Amino acid sequence: MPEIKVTPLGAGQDVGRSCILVSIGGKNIMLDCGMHMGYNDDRRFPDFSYITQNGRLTDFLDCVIISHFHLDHCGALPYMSEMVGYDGPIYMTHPTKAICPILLEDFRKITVDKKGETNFFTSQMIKDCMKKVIPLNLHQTVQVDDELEIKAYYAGHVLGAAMVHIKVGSESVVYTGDYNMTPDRHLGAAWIDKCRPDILISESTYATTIRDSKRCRERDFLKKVHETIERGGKVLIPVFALGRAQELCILLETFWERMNLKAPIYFSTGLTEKANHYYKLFITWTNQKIRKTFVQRNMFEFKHIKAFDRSYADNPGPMVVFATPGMLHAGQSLQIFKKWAGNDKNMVIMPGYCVQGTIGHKILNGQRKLEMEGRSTLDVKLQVEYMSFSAHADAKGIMQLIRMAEPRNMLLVHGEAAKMEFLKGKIEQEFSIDCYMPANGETTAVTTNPSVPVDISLNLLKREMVLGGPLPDPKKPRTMHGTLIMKENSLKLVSSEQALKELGLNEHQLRFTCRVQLQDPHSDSDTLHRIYTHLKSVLKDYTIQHLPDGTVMVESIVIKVSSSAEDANAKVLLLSWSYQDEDLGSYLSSLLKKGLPT
Amino acid sequence: MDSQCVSTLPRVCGVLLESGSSLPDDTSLEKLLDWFTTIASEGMTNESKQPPQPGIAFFHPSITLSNVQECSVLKLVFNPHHWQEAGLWGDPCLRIGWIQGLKMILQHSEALSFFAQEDLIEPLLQLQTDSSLFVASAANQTLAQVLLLCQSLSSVGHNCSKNRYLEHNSVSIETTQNYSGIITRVSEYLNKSVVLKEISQLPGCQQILRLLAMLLQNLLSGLSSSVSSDPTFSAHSARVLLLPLDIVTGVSLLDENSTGEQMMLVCFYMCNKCLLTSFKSMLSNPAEEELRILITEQLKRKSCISMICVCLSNIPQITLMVSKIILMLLRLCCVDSSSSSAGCVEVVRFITGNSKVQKCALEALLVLSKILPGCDKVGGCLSRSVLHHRPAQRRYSSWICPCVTGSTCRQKGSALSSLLGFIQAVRKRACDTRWEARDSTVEFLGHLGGAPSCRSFTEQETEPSDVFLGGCSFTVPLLKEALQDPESYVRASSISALAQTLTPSWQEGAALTQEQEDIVTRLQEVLFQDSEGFARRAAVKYFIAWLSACSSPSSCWLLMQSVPTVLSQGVNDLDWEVKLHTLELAELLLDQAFPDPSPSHPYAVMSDQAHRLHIAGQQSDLLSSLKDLVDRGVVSALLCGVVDCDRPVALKACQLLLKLRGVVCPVMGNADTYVVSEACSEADKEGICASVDPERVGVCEVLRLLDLDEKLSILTQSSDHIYNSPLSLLQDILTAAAASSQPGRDLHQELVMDCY
Repeated sequence: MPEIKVTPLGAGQDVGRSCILVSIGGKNIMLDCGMHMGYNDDRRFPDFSYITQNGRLTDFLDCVIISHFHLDHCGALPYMSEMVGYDGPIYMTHPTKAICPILLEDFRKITVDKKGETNFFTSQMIKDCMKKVIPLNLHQTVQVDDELEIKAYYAGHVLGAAMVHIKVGSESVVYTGDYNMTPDRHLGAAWIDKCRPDILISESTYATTIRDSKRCRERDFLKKVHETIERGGKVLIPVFALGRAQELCILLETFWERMNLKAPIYFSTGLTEKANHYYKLFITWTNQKIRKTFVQRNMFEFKHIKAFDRSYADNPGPMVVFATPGMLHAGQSLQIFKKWAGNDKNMVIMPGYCVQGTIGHKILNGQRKLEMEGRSTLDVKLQVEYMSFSAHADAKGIMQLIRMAEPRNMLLVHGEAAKMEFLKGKIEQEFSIDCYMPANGETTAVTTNPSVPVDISLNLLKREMVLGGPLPDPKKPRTMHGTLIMKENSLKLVSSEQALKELGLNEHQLRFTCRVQLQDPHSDSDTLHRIYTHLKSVLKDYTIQHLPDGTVMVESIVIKVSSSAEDANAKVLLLSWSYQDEDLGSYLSSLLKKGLPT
Repeated sequence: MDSQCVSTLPRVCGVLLESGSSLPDDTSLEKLLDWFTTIASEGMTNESKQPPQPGIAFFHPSITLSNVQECSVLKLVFNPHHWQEAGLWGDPCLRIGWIQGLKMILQHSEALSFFAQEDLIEPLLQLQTDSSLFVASAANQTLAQVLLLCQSLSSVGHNCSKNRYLEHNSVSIETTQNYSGIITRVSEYLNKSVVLKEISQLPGCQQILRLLAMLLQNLLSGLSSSVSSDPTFSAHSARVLLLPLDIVTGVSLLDENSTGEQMMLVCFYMCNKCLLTSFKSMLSNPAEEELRILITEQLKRKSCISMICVCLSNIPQITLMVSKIILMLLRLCCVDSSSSSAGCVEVVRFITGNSKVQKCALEALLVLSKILPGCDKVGGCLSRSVLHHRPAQRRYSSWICPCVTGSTCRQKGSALSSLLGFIQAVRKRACDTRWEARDSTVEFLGHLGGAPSCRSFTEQETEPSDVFLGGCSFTVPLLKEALQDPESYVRASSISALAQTLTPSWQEGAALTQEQEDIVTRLQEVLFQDSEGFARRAAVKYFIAWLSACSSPSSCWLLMQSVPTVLSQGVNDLDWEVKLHTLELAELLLDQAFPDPSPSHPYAVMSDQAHRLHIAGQQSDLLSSLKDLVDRGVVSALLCGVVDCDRPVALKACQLLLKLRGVVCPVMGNADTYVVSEACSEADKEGICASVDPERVGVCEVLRLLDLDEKLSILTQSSDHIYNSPLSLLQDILTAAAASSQPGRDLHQELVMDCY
């Protein structure tokens, strides 16, 4: 039986470093190629040596599909394609293709900024990798090769995020990547066809949570910023150059406009310009409200947000500064933090995840005394706030997507094992489908029952109608007789005559014969006549003939009689019939074996 | 171990014991183990000096095995039945732990006897096909390690030291028999899995190809790294890797006296033979349709391509040894159409049409053409493959370029006339709608301009087509146009390509053209206005290339005029790499201002007066050089850089300032009163120059005030060395535990990986 195999190299019962291998219909596809930011060595990337022993990924993989631009989904891509070596196609949506290299470059810069970072990709590698990317449009079926096709669906989550439907023949898999089932300030909700895939591979970050709406979190954020500004404090928001930064910029821009606030907002990186450019360029990927108001005013053209200069940090009075990098581990954000940390009127808002080993992580955990270089310490007096703006589907959303796509099997990735286990139970109970949650390196194999499409000739259908059967109904299966022929890679059910004609073959008659020994003390012709009479009496509805050439015929069955040379009473009956009368033939032979009535 | 860590560790262990869930993040445990491993390996080197800390004994691989064996701990730990009975063997984490543990103890050759006695080969072989990819892969590696160990021990047997070795390691004869038992078991296993029971030869061959590709890769990469340092090791590994070949071919290849290199050749020969046999059999049986189809299918499989690529990639390493086979392969890959009969057209088309094979073949040829410049056959293959493969030209212009310039120029004559068409193709690609194509073309033009063989050739020839190719008349206008490209990657590539193209004219000291002046104006615009780092980085690098190539920079007015602008703009850039490149430019200027003094003759006699005059002369020279540097903004740039928040920038600036101090301060003393008020203002912001009059500061005084030595010692450390230290990790674990015990606090609920 054909089967689909799914092996996570990352994101199997954990969050981070998403990398899932799918083998379907003889094709091998890698879904996402993410990195783990918590490590400083090779462990940050998935271990591709598991895929092929000699590391030739191109030979093994038919394509790589990237769901969205977050680094835990695409961060290992240049490493895989340029350092490990992969020359095959990489698919991602247009916005992801545009934004992904900016993020990769940003992260590369932050990483090599630290001393002692080795084995990291270069700018040139990022560029060379992006040259291998083939962009995808939403709802457009892309033929990867003769058999493999993929189609992208809107996933919400971040700009350009997509779910992919992968199809080989009649087998199919849907990979959700990260998705969000509720629209937010600038993005819409995820949506997919009722495509009934064999497996739906879904993220399960919030597998056990019903989340409050993002609007509540946004209101909270604005309230905190506003309060700090009102009391004359400064707000530092450490961000990465792209992604959440733009989301928060829109929030503050609209709020400032509405409240007519005068305190300056600064953005401390040169990358914003390009980032904003892409958000403008891909306006069609944002939600309806943004698209509608686009004509009057582009949300991504910020009136209140100005470029930052490092001398501004010492300016008196309130201000809001977006500074990079996001985890306070180096660069400008750290420098500003050191300046402002001593004042309890100030506030730092961490809008994203911080890895262990960064100042961001320490202050979030509540450390108020930080060791600094040169054996000095820094007293953290400013307020520290964490706000999660991550837009993932919660338990309700995941169930909603299952209802939408109607998969035959479910497979959970990108979540914690315990939470997955809970959701798995729920899914199996509510939808009566199997749900899997493989760990990293574990392979889940799902057997599929592929239906093979067959064309039926019109003649055959007409003949069926003539015979008086019911008209064909796609919802009611019924048996049809005919000859199955394969021509030009497609199957066709036709009448046997048509099959002979189309294949240019001659018809051959196939007859079965059997001998029956019989004791009958009469002449051969008398015996034959007795057989004729006997059969006449037994088989009332059949055509039985006694032919002049010394044979009896029942339908297509021919019966001859001959005597044995040694014993004249021992008769040998020779029966012969065509395959159509197989049942009748065997019935007659067993009937005659019992002997003739006296 | 740091005393503070020692005192914190017990509390951390307590927390971990209490609840594992209060870890700061999913990497913490692994990082903790990393730290223990480091201590353990450090401990190993200091083993004889002091006993390891009792708390970390468990992680110490150097504990003598006999000690542990006596306690039966090892027996218990490595007995799979024990884990099966406990119902834990089903957990892949445990299985992988079992393998890792095995791998760890097998670092000691004594452990092999334990391995043999406990009959651990059986579970290890079972794990080769484990349901977990990670387990199977680790089991595979461990098996290789076991084989290597067995092989090395049994090969010891052939010299006289065997008995002494065995006695010394108290290995009994019985155990050595066990070793050969292990090899036999492994051989049987390989035999079962490699040579299929069904007689159908082709799938078997398929398997062999896959295996051989893997073995060859391992062998060659292993040898290239270790052959020079340890020939015995490579001989051992070759023997082990030849084992399956032995089984497959039925020919004994294992010769005890062979060296590593010989082994490698045998392997290489065998692999190629397998490969070529497939081709040959197809060529000789074109009539047998069924067989042809089967072989075609077989060769179309990807492992065959993989095999060819491995062979091709490694050809240059051993080119002189097995030249016959190599040429066969190369001819095959460069479509020697004369040799392809009708029967194998499909396969040849498939293989030669495979871009990966083409790429490998061309790269191999390129290396060969460098090694063997006189080899006609190689040159022939190369020119044929490059000039007659338009698809290849289109797809890989960037790497074909060196082939074109390196080889066809040598061939001259008719080959070049076909390049005219090639030039047209390049022009067309430079206006492609996809940035990828435009960028590759621009990169290609840069390589073309920078290829020395091509340039020397164009100088000699007078044909217009040749001048087109290497000369600026073709490339510079195209590149200038690309400076306006909407895609920053293309803009950056065009700037680099222009630098590559113009370098020869700078070296020759040729007069500046209007075109070059336009380029400089445009580059300054890029530095001021371009929104992206790539282009700005390339612009600064352009000036670096110009300054270092220019035969006499001071006489080039345009260059000297641009440098102060580049320095002042570059050092204030938002991108730290632009800042770093700017400092590299400053370094060049610094080196030119203070070239390494030619050491005076050690025995030269110098009178006091001459000495005074010498010093005075030096002072005035230095003063004028220093004035130049200050005027050009070099000192300002360095002072600005040293207080930068990005560590590489600050480090570079600090190093350069130290260099400057080393040259200037010993000679100048307090004689320097040159004003650098502007430059100082940056440093002043950081409170460094607070004690001096900002309007009138001497360079030497500033350099002394900066405390550069202290700064350098801080900057040379990683920027996250404090927060990534073991102590920081231990503190984080304690804080996370404390935080999680607070009611109503559940950070983990919200912390997901997407920090962007």
